[in-house]
Amino acid sequence: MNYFLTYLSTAPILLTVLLTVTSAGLIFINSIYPDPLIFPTF
Amino acid sequence: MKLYIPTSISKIFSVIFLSIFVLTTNISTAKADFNALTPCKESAAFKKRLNSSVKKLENRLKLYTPDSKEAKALTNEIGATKNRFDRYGSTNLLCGKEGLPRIIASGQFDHAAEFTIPGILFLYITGWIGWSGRKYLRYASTTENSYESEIIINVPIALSIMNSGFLWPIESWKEFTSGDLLASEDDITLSPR
Repeated sequence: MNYFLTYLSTAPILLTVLLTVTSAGLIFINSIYPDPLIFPTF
Repeated sequence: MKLYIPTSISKIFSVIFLSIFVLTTNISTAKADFNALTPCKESAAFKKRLNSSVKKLENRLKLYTPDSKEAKALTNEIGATKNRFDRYGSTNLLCGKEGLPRIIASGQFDHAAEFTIPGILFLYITGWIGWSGRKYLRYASTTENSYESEIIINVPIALSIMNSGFLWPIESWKEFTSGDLLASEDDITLSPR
């Protein structure tokens, strides 16, 4: 288990996780607020 | 022969020339009137664009039965198109002659939502990322096996650094004033010349 956690902490794996989470977040924001041409000021 | 001018005299001359340049140059403030642009809600071309976009989608909709997947997708797309035009029309956006909205990037306060605010937000987020990375690398350099700490990330410490990184403008300014932000001249390697 310890070795597996070390493997998960390596830079390429963390980078993949981080980019996946970031892109998922961007896709989600775009689906709930589509075509954002300007910053919403409400 | 090299002309030798004492630095104090050259500084005084630079200040004098700079003040003459600044005082005599007519710099008008960048506040364009955008005469060629009209607010999108008043633009006939913008409305025409909405109608033609919706018409095209409605023509495609006629090809499918109302219960089909394609018909539902097209109906959604018609709704999204109308919403988009409604939203662009209800904001402060200016449209060109062809009816397309334009982003005003001049920094004017009334058009800040178009470029200035997203731009500052972009700089803030990229600064946050950069600051967290820099802080982690500095932490890694203090560990026993610094190369390994850069390859196998210490996740709890990296997360705490990322979480506290939102204060990066203040922290970087503090480091700048204390002289910790920039490396000293002696630490910068130069190629032999």
